[in-house]
Amino acid sequence: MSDYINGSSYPIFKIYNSSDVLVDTIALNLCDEKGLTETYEFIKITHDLLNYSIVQKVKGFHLNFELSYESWSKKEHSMKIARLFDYIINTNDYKFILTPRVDVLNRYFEVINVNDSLTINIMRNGLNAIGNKGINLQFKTKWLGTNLQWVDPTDLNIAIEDFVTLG
Amino acid sequence: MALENYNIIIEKYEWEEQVTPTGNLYEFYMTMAGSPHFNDGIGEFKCINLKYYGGQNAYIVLWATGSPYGGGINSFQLGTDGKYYLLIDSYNPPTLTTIKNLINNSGIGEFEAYIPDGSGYRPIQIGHGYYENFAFVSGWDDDDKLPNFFSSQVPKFLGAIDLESYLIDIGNLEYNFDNADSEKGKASLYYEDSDISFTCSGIQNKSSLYDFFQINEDTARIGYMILITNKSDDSLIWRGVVNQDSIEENFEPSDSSEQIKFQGLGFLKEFKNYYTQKKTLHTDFIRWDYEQSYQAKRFETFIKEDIFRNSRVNIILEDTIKDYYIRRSAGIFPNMPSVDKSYTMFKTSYDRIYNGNTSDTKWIFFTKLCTAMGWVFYFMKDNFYIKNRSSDSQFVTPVDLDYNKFLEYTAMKTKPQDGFSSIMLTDGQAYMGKNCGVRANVNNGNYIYMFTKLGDDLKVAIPFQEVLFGTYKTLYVGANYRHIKYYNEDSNWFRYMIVQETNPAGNYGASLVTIPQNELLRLDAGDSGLEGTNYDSSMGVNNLWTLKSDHTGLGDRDFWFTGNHGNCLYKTVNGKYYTYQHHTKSSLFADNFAKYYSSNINLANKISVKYDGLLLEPLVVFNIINSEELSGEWTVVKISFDLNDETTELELQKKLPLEEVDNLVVIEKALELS
Repeated sequence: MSDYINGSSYPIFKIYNSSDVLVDTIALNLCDEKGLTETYEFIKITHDLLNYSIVQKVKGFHLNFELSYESWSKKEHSMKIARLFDYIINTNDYKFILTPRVDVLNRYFEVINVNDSLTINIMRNGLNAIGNKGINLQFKTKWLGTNLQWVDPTDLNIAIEDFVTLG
Repeated sequence: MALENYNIIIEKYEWEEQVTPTGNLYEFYMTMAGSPHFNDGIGEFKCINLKYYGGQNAYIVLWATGSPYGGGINSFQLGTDGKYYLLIDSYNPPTLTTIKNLINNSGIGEFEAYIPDGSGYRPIQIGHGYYENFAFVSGWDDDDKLPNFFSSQVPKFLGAIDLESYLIDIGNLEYNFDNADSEKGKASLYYEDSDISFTCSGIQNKSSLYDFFQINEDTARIGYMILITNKSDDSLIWRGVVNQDSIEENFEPSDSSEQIKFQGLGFLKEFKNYYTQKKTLHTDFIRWDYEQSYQAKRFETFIKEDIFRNSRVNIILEDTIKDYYIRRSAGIFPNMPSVDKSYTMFKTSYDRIYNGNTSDTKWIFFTKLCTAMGWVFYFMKDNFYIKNRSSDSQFVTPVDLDYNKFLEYTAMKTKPQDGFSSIMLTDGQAYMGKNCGVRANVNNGNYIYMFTKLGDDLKVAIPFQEVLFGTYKTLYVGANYRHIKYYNEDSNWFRYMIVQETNPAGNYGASLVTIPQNELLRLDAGDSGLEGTNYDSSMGVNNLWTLKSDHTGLGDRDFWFTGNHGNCLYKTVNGKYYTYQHHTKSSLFADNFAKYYSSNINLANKISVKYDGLLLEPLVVFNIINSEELSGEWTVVKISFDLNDETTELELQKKLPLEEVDNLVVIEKALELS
């Protein structure tokens, strides 16, 4: 029995081409101490009426993912990130499916890159450095969500297909 | 928030496309009695207006027999044409119930009620040649299907919504009575009404406003009425309709998304929309009375029965307008006593106007008539007012406007309206033979009325002065008699002439006045095209006055003429005719047009004011108090109300004293016609 929801493991990206054929799977490391943060950004309309009441309609949300590797990213892992961004920068129309915690496989989202910039640095010790640092990845769900999709890891048999249908 | 003081309700209605009966297929809703000139003892007629709701293809004509001794019939007869006719005995007219039973029991089956289309066909024939007393006043016609609040079909009420819980913004309620605009490069008048804009939340109450307006659905049969009332006493402030073409809901990723915006149109526009689809009635379909031995009808009755016959409208005419009669026929009527050369002239009449404008709608007829007379009309609450434009009219009483409540004001010295130095009304044509008494060479052509200070603008648009008594009723022009007449124009200049006979031998002189086109406001006062009246001064060939539908082939003693719509009206003052020619010389007529008129020298004082408080009566004269600078009477050019902050924005024009326009008025001494 866990005391948390939505899983605890590392994230994976599945990359599909425009024909919905899986072309690559990139499993990233478990994030550092800042973790993998999910932020729900609500999309809503608010009207201020002449009678000073407020009317609001919540249309749904976009889910923002922040994957922190600011402390440490080993070479092999950094190269995975580079491969991921090769797909992102590529002019081909790829689709990115993020499973934020691989231990909850039925919780996945089609995402888009929202990084305005990508930072990478090297850890101390020069030639003896054990990896890079400063990498922070930001993604956002492509489609408007209307279901939080919070999952109890002990009950993983619930099929949730709110955001995407895999080909 | 001031809006809490008001209810803003939108009611939703639906009109049926195919009117279906709820009971009998036939509804008789008009009974008219009276035959004031019918003297054979028959007595009263009844006029039946048959309303038919069916859609079947058959034919029925109401046919009234005439003779009191002829054994009139109240039954159906099969005509030689194979059609069935309902014969009505005018001596013993049936009750409506009898007619209804006749139809229902006829066994004929299906009918199509004849629709009088103004083509001249008379759906009711009666004996003795008197058909005038029968009238199909409004009609069981296609208009009943019009989705319009003035349609005779009572729409189905579908529900109402209170806008209070939806309103995001509301525009000013603005009245703008009439204005000048350029049409084909020439300025002309148009009428406006109060409109108001609304912005509402489309997300309130689970988007119920979206559903209420049925956005994305066909709502051609649906109408929305807007009612703004005072919460305190339920009194009506404004009534209008939703302009469905204006309804829009935007969708965008922002807080302004799903706002439903629409425009409320003043009720006058709905009224106009209805009556621009109704043709004027054929002369035979109007119940004329006899007034001073000629067929005419009291104008107030005419407006209420034959133009705007409508249960929804409460028409209120200024007293001076109520007194008018409308003439059926035109003519020049000499007074005949040998010592009296005076005459009365009706340049036009209802039948001339109708025949010359058979495609005109009631709205067009009405607006041209109002233009000719200098009248304005407007809806205020549930009343439709017709009044003189003059700020001295009956419905205009000075209201104090407290300078201490001025939030701000701007003073201007500018020309009234768009600064027209001259106003011109058309007034028909005249063509004449060589021996009618008036010289054709200078007098043939178009006649006008002018308001200008750029030249003489006397208000005499008749090229003769008197009618001689004798074998011939020749028209006579005395020495120094002067009248005004159109001359010519080009793109830059408009020219008219003052014609004057310099001596009785018949030598004419004429002086030309030239006016810049861009300073001329021309008003369409109507005409009857070539449907004119021929006055035969010989009296030998024709009557003195006959309808003649062109001005070619005139006899030597003929005088052919037409006039604008105002010429069909007259009133009787102390037993004497007061015609359009009298009206055009009155100070009231001049004052009716003073709003648009200025000289190049005298500019009008204008102010725009933001006033703390609502001044909901739009057509008033304001008397500014507590200010020495602005004291005096001011007329309204434009007025708008902000219900949200309870302020009024006014554009006021200093009222011109009457002496300013006195020089426009010709002394009426020569007009005391008998």
